[in-house]
Amino acid sequence: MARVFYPVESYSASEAGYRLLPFRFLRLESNKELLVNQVGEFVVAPFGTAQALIRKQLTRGSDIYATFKAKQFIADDSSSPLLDLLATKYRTKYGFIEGFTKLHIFVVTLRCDHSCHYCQVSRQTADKSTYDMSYETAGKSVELMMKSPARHVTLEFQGGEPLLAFDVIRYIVPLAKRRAEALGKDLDIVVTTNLANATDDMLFYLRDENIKISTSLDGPAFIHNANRPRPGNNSYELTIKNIERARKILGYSKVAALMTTTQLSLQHPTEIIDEYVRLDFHSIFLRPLSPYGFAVKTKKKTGYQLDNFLNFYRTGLAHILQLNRAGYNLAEVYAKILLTKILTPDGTGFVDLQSPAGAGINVLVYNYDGDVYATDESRMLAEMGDHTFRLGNVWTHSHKDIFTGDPFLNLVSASCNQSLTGCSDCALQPYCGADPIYNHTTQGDIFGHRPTSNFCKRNMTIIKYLFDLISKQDSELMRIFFAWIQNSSLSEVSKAGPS
Amino acid sequence: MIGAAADGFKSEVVSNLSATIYLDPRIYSREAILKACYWFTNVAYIQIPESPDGRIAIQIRLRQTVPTLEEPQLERIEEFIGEFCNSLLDFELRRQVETETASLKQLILAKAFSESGVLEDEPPGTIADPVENRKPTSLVQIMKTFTSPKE
Repeated sequence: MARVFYPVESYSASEAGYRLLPFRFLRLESNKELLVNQVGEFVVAPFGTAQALIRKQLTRGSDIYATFKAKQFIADDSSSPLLDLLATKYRTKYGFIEGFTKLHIFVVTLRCDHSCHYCQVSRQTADKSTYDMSYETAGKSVELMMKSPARHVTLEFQGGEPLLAFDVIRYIVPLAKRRAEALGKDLDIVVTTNLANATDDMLFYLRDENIKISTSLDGPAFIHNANRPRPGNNSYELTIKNIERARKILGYSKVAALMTTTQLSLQHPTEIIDEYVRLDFHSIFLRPLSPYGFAVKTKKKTGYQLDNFLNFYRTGLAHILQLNRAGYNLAEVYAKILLTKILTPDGTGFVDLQSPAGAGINVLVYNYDGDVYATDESRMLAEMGDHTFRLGNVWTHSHKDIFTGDPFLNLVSASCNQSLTGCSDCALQPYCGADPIYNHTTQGDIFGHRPTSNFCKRNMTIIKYLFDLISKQDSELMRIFFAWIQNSSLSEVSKAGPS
Repeated sequence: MIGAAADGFKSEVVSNLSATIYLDPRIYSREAILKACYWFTNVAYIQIPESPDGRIAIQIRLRQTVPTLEEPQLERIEEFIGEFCNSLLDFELRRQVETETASLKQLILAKAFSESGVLEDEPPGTIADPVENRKPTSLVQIMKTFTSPKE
């Protein structure tokens, strides 16, 4: 077959002007601007570049012209068929929407042996019947979960402390596996537990059923025990012992830990991180405290200003980077999520920071009493008497009822940052998300007010900070970032750089 | 007191806490003005009353009137005007991008999420390229999956 080419003059640049492709920009510190196109590709350029670009003052043949053309900010008459390419990139970025709800959280009991300040829902009671999910409700919940069009679903057991209702877990697991297999779905199962009540038999069961564990570790003993009171004040000691035991039985990679940040934590970022290193964890999530439930009621104990959290985050991230440079692989999960969005063509399925928001679309919560909520935070609001985001009940609502009902439709009307005031023009939009439930909780309406939103300020500050780091042109730092993104070690990432 | 004047822009400082900005609507669009105002509603009360002389008048009154422990430094009205002015220019530029690319943006979205494939363009040139055809990751192969009729 002959190779056919256009004549050579087809490939030469003409002197005609260029046209703009969709992009957004914002000013960064230090006289720089960040320009981001519709699919999240970016250019950090000197102040004034956006104005010159928009006013068509860029000179053909200049490096900056070539950069903007290559990154699809502009097109001229020698541009390749870029619309399809942009559409393909866009589809890739939003691939997480495909399949709809993937994460299904089952609250099998509200009972718990801990009384954490920031916990919204737990009940300290021995009464099994009141706060445990019944087998019948569990069955209906599995039925509803399997109606999700997603080919790959995750079932997460939560509480309270789910291991206190281990019989319910043992009822649900085989049922869910049978249904998933019959429907040709892949199924992952995770249990979120403080491990305090985990017997060897339970751990062997989890191992045999290939169930992962996510546990809570807030830092060294003086922080963990202060945050997570339980009879005997020995939560830390139990957690450490049980993490080791769970790792031995289930395998190292099957046990993950999550921390919650409180007022006390804010003073001790390095101690918390060092505790994770001491326990040989290779990822840590410096999470802000969510503004829900008892966390709001006990604000004096756990509440703090956003600026304090941002300082905590920056200090923590700097320490983590230092550890990585010294040879210990430790990823900060929030940065990793953002860097994946910034430095790769992919989006992430992280339900707390995406647009459309994850609520309902990517996560559903099945409460012990059969109520279905859009997110874990929604059911925490319900525990405070606010049922706005109760989407239905497994006994009375079908899958269709839930996703065509008013509560869900109201929620999705504020779920896309592409169409929210303030977000629609923001250059950080492709990396950020929408959180109507947070807006409702903190500002009284699902659309929210960006100039006074802590969600907005927190994410803008952290994303801009990451761009500051990226634009330092530090090749070792970029290798660390790519190691996080690729879930690999620093030594495995031979060379990397921003796209 | 006249604060500053430039093409299409004039500001009048009324007090330490308030000012009025006058804008020429031939230079600044209503959309850019409203968007710029929105981002300052955390620090100021902003009103845009009807103006008899054809200019757009923006009345600004800073929210914080006394220093607090959280905000010990009061915002200066002159600084506010400067920041507002920069922001206004940014939003005017953003509006230009939006105007020029709105239909393109819609087309990209439609293409991205269209399952039918009818919106896909044939790439220019020919795909009768045996070298490219042999590479599974070549653009030719990638484009083929989006340009071939729906199976």
